[in-house]
Amino acid sequence: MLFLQQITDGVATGAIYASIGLALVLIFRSTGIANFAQGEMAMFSTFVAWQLIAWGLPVPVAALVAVAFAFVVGAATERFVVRPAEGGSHLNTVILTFGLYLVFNEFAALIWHSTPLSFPTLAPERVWSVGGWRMTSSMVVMVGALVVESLAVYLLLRRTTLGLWMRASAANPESSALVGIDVKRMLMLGWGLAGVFGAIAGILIAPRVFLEPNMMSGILLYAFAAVILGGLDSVLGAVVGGVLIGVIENLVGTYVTVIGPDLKVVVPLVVIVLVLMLRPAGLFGAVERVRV
Amino acid sequence: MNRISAVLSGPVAARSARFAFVVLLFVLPFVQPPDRNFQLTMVFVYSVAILGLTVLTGASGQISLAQATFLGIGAYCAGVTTVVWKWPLWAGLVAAAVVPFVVGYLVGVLAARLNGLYLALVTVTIAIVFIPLVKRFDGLTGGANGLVVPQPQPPAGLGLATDQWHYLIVLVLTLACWRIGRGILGGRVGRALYASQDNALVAVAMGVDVPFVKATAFAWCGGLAGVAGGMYVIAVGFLSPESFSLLLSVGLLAGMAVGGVGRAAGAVLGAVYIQFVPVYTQEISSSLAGIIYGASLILVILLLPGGLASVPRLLRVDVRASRPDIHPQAGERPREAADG
Repeated sequence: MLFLQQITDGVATGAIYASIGLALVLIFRSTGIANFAQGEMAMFSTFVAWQLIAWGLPVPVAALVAVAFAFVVGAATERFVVRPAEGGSHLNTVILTFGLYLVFNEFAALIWHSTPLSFPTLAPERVWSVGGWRMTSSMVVMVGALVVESLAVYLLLRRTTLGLWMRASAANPESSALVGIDVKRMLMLGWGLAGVFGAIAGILIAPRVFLEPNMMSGILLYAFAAVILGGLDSVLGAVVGGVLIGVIENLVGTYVTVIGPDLKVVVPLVVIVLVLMLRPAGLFGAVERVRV
Repeated sequence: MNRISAVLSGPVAARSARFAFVVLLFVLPFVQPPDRNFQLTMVFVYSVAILGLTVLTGASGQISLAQATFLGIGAYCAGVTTVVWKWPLWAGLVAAAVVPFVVGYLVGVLAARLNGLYLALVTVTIAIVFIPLVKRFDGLTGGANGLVVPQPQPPAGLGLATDQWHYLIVLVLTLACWRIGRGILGGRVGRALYASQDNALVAVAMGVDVPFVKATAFAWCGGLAGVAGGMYVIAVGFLSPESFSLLLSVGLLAGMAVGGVGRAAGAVLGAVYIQFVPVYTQEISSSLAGIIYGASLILVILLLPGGLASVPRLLRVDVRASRPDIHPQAGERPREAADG
């Protein structure tokens, strides 16, 4: 029963990692960079939701406004920080996202201070239990959100003209521009959507981990492990990788006593290093060939 | 006349300017207040850590978000060996240099196979894992409560205050690291590093073992950060895992970018920058320094890729370009003459 419980819990937290992972994959596919500030942007949007709740808005409304805010911040980041650096080395863009990391992190600390705040769940918490196995409504919401998100991404990219444009701009920006696709707007849209997924993950996980400026640093790590495992350019990979990492994390924390709950954080490190050594493209990623 | 100007702009002038600068550094602790001595000591610590990044990023084109972690490994090596195992301080400092050097090499072996993005990811992971790891082994490290390390006391009879003594020890270590850093950047290893960054194919053809050289760069980067960690122990005397967070690593990266990537002088400017920005922003908010680091990192990359160290060169080019006929340099003819 404990085993089953650990797997259920793992799937629920894994859904959060997958949600952030989706955001990372969306940006990586379109711009070829990993956004290390993704977690901090999610944390910032969650703080915005908290502030709106504190001002008296109902929780779901506050969450919606915060998600919209995240879209604007994501798109603005692409427009004003990432785009001017286009054409430079990838190393520079990676460093840029760390600049953003610091700005968002310390800005949140400046406005809301570093004391952990409690954050309400979207709906009042309900618990179902069968035997020793228990399941909460927030776990259902986490998994449900992931299912909706991944379906939405799938439908957007595979079934709509907009999605076709986005895929075209990612695959070949120059030719896409020549056939009349507004590539720059597609990139902005990609960053905006990534912001949305990040914010959803932040709002759903905040009731569990408490809201404070550093709340996402560990979660971002698991999300990265998830997308490395699944393949940095694969939407399916992010979902599968996220759930797998969530489950592995829980099982290792429970059953490998040397590591224990305090040191679960080495799990993503080990996963990242192993995958990069054995199969750098991940489970579902396109294998990249480099000629030297 | 020509000879004088040649001397003034030549290596002799650079060397004497450097000599005068070092003499000034040795005089300073006796003429300035103790808190200023402590601040400058921290500048030395950061400058050595940033020098490590300069070797790694500037010369070999790799990136590390774990420089504060290597600094922390060095600091904890020095702290644990001297406090728990009762080693003398010099042996602790050797451990502080050797262990991060070896760890850096191991990371470098893995890193040589990865491009910038994945490397950033692996080093970020190391940076985030370090703090829980230190807390987990609290028997050795003191865990979350930290570790108090007795600082070296000035020898009796010299009449030195503690802050002056720490300043001088750290300064001597810093100068040694500087010598090593310049040796790496200007020597055989440095040339091999620049070559493998600029054109790996040609470097291989010239007999450079690119993966080995890249791993070596990581080892030196780690080793220099480790020595900086040892110096940190001397200067601060207290270790807490939170002091070596990812935020400090990003801050050091910002210091390197602001100072100037790939320039030894940039490491000093960057260290001054990250030490003194918090001194002036602390009154408003302790978070303001981080915002400024982050914003300056973004601005420098977008607007001034060479960092502060490149400013004199940029200015010089501007002056020369605007008045080409007044000071024709040797080997550079005015445009009209070239046309005729």
